[in-house]
Amino acid sequence: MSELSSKILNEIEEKKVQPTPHWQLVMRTAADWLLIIVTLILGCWAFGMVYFLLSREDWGAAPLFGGEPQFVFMAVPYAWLAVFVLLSILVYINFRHSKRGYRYAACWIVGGIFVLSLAGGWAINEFGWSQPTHDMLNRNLGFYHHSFDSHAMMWENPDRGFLAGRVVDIVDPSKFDLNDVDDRLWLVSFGPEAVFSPQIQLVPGLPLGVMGQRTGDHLFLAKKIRLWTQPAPNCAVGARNMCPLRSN
Amino acid sequence: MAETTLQLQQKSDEELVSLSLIDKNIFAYLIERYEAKLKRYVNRLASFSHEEVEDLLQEIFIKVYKSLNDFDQKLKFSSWIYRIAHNQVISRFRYHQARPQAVSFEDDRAVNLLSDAEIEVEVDRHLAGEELSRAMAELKPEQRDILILRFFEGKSYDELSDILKKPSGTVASLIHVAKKSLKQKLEKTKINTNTTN
Repeated sequence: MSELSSKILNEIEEKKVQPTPHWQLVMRTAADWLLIIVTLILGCWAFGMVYFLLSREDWGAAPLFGGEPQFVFMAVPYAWLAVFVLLSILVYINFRHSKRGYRYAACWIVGGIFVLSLAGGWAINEFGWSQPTHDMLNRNLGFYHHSFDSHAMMWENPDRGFLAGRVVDIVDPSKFDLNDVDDRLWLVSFGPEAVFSPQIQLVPGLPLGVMGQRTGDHLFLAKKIRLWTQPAPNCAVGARNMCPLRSN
Repeated sequence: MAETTLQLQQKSDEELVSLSLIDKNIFAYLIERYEAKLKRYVNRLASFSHEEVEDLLQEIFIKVYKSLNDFDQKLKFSSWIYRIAHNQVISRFRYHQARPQAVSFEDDRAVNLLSDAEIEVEVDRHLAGEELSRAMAELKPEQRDILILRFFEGKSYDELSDILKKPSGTVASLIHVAKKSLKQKLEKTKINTNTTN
């Protein structure tokens, strides 16, 4: 026996060194894989929310925002995309550090994560799980509405000339009260040059998207008025939620 | 009937791992099988003192013993033990925040590396070894490490992949970049002379 092997065996004996128990290693591996799977599922969910928010956009309103490229740029839910990217990075790192994960080239891992997220996100949306998630976050997270809901962020911008809400009362042939998605009451006026797209009869309860100019505290001059015709699936009831009526 | 020393010496690494988990004294056979190789590997990575090398080897083998249940039978044991050795040496570098000093590469394998990197070699291998030592010391640690594992420890691309935990394609790229870097450093020191047969 060599001097080194004697020294090592003595140290093992004196310090009672033991191999890490097999069950501990199994638990560690299981925990690692659980983390990978949970992070992947959350990533799919985030991707599903991106898909959900984009699919409920009223793409016909693109001209109001300066055309399709501009509209796409504004409609993309960047916050959800950032969450998806962050979760995907975590999946990548955890997979890379798994027992055999290092053998796969980065492009295969990234491609695999993307494909699984696409499929998972689509499935989550198809099963109708995105809307309840959206509503729950809207109700419980104060910052969600103004940071994650790209649709709301586009339309709830009276200072930039965009207002969305539901007609409360017809004041006169050129004015109506509108309750916006934040439950604020606006007096919206319009002149003969205002464009209605499509031609609609103003009645209380009608959900509208209005483009124009803020003229004062809770005063808005409309230049274009649009019916919100994209019904959200499983639309929840709530002052913050715009549940447009189906167009006939 | 207890197995004889000769019988144990003839067992494969994987069999010795299984037996070491039952009787720790059998672990000595694995130590003796890999002591010289790992000592040479550690000495090639940096010019540690004799005591530091002994310390490092002790740390490495203790770590190996603790991790025996974690040995993946689908890997070659030598790749696995080299992986542990590699990681322990890197940890030691980080702990001391020291860059490794030049070591000597004066042997036939130095010539293999030089010719593989398409660098013309001196007939005088002593000179070639000295210049190579200086150039290797200037390489980034990960470049030096991969060249040592490939050309001095004789590891295949698959083994390198298992030791460094990187895909084979990445290993090939790293070797290519390391050889190119080495060539540039050697050309700077003007090693090129004509090869005489």
